[in-house]
Parts: sequence; C-alpha cells; structure tokens
Amino acid sequence: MNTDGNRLIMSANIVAIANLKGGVGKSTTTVMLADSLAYHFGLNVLVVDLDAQANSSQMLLTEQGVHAASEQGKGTHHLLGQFLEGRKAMAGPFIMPNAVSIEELRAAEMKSERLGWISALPAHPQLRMDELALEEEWYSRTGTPTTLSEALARHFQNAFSDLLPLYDLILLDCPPHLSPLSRAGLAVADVFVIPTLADAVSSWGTKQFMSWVGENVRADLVNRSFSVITRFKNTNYARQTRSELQNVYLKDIWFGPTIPESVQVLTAMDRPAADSYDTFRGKYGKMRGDVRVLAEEFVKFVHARKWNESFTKVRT
Amino acid sequence: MTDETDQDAFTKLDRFFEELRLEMRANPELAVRLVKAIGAEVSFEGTLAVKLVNPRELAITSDEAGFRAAFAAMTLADIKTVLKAHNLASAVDMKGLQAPELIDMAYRRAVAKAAERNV
Ligand SMILES: Nc1ncnc2c1ncn2[C@@H]1O[C@H](COP(=O)(O)OP(=O)(O)OP(=O)(O)O)[C@@H](O)[C@H]1O
Ligand SMILES: [Mg+2]
Repeated sequence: MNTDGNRLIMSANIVAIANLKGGVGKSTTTVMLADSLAYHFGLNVLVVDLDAQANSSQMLLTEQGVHAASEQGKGTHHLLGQFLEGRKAMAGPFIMPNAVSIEELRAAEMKSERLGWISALPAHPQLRMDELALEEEWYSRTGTPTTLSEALARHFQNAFSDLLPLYDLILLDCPPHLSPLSRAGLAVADVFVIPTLADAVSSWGTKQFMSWVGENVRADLVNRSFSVITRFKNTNYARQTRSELQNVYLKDIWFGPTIPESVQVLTAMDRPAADSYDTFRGKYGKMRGDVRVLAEEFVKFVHARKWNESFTKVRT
Repeated sequence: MTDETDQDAFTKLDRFFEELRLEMRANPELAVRLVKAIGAEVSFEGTLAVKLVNPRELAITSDEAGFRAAFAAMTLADIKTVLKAHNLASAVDMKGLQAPELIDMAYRRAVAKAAERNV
C-alpha cells in the first residue's frame, strides 16, 4: 500500500481467501480462482497455502507432489523456521514454480509463450508442528498471541513484498481459525474473498469473521470483501438464506457468482497425478462457466474498487 | 410353531432368496456388493469389468499381476473409459497412448492414489 498525496492507493495484490467457518470452500475457491484467472486473464498467480491441512496444495500438486515439494525444501513451514531463527524474510526459495494442471497454460509455456501461470508456496502437515513449536517458544519469552501474529505479519510482509513484482496476484488460502499464522495472513492481505455456504451456521461464521477482521485487521473490510456462496443446493431453504445474506446481512459486500454443488468440482480438485494435465474444459466440465464467471466477477470487483491496472481477457 | 406355519416360513424364505437371486442376476453391482460383504474375492470379465473394476481398490487388494490381469482383456477404449471414470487420467494424458502404456499409467497412478488415501 503506498500513498499518493493524501489519497491511499491500495493494491489488490494480496488476496486472502478466508472464513472462520471450516469447510465452506476456501481451498476450492482458491484453486478455481487461480485456474480461472490464469486461464482467462493470463495472470501470473502465486497460491500460498497457510493451512496445515494443505488442501489447496494437494488440489494443485497432488499429495505426492506436496511431499515431493517438502523434500525439495519447499513450503510455508520454512517461513516459520526462518522467522524463528531471525533470518532475513524471503519466500522465493520455498516456492514450487510450477503448480499448473491446465493443458493450455502448459502448452503455451512449452512454446515459450507463457500466458497465465500458477506457482505455489505449498503447505505441508509439518506446518502444524512448526507453528506449535513457534508458539511454545514465543510464549515462553512472555510473548502473546497478538505480538506473535504482529511479528509474523511483518515477516510475511517483507517476504511477500519481494514477490509482488513477480506475480499479478498472490492468493492466500487461510485456515478456518485465528491462529497466529492465519492472523498474520489476514493482516498482510489487501482484499478478502469470503466463501460461505447458504445455511445458518455458515452465515454465523461469516458474520463472526466480518466483525473480527473489521475490528482487528481492516476497518474498511466491507469495501474490500468479495463473497462467494459455494456448494449451493438449489432448495427453498438455500435460496432464502442466500437472499438474506445478499440483501440484508452482507448487503454492502460484493457478491461473486453462486457456485453450485457438483461432483465435477470434486473430480476437478482431485488431480490424477502430478504429471497430469487437462484442458480447462476437461477439468471443469459443466462447471467451467461458473469458474469463468468467478474470475470475471472478481476482476470486475477489483476494477470497481480501482485497486489495480486492468486485467483483460486472453482466452474465452 | 405348527408344521403348517413352518412350511409357510420356508416357502416365504424360498421366495425371498429367489427374488434376491433374480435381482443379483439383473443387477451385477448389487451382486458384487453382496459377495464382497460376505468377504469373498471377486474378479470380473468383459463389459462387466469395465463397469465394476475399481483400480484404486484393486491396487490395494491384489498384486501387480492381478491388477494387470483385470485390464488384459479390455479394449483400448474400455481401458480409457475406466481411467476416465476413476479420475486417474484426463483425455490429454491418454492421447496417443496404447493399451500397455495406459495400463502402466493406471497401475502407477492407482497405487499412488490408493497409498495417499489408505490409512
Ligand atoms: N461446488 C462444490 N461442489 C461440491 N463439493 C464442493 C464444492 N466446493 C467444495 N466442495 C467440497 O466441500 C468440502 C470443503 O471444501 P474446501 O476444502 O474447499 O473448504 P475449506 O473452507 O477450505 O475447508 P477448511 O476449513 O477445512 O480449510 C471439500 O470436500 C470440497 O471438495
Ligand atoms: Mg481449506
């Protein structure tokens, strides 16, 4: 974020995909956005997995790929080690430069015509242990969760600022709670993508998220939020709940498309192997229109808020 | 219980098993589930194999030779159908590959996926 006179120019470069509620589609939305922004808008996207469940990393790289990445010294847990040992903040060495599964992106790359790309700073289950160890260490030195979150956020800020010139967008897949790590992720984000389900408990989780982040991280959160209703089953109940979310409780938030519940999403997120590629059409099948609109709406949202130079379509 | 009601019960059981037998004939998926439920091993041939073989399960429950045998009698198109249906390969992955290469890929990926999921 830099200033131009008194006017704040915000950048939409770091996007946190977050909600306090678990299982609302954060990781799935992260991967769909990455694929669709890379495919349709030719963007160079970095996916950072801050969740020790490593779901978006698995979706992008497969589980074997997650382990292979870790063996090559890649992964978000190394950022914690770096922080703990007081080393200079640097994320570049921990990034898997290829997390692409879309054939069209790979084919263009082969012809040295890169047009849209995805890299990943993956998570590994080790992240959970490393975060615990960090907490033990920090609290034994009379630190608090808040000071730890703040110090980690500064570390991330430094680590990611070197990356900003290299990527169009950095997507942070956040875990469903407020650990120091996830708080640090929220603190460095410019924009929030908030997936939610159209049911009462998810509305509740979303409300909690909005009020906590609004009070503790971003006062202008409402203006920076893009919500997506996911796994939508077209029932009366779901339609009512969605209507309330969009027209009453979260009426000031930008809503992206409603993503239907579909088996196609499950198969799209289950990459057959780390060397498997599929066309965008093949990967998303009958969901491809929804995934395209997700990126289109997100880009509209970013433009409307004037955070960024314009992104233009490179593929239909 | 009188003799008469005994007879009645057996007749009814016979009817029950007859219905079950007929249903199993008509519905091989059900037959397979029932046979598996009593702990017997099942293997398939022909079009039934294409419909019922689960490569990930097979990768765990049988050895490599058994795995390959399940695909040996299948046509190229059938192998592709199985790989696609079980999300083990995309059309792009399978383009231009012949049956032996596809079976290699199926085995490699099924073993890997099953290992990921097996506790
Ligand atoms: N549109 C959809 N149709 C069907 N299933 C979906 C859809 N979106 C997500 N899912 C499934 O819902 C589950 C939760 O999704 P996901 O893991 O993306 O949520 P999450 O918010 O990241 O969860 P967590 O809080 O554990 O990180 C997964 O099993 C995922 O495959
Ligand atoms: Mg997740």
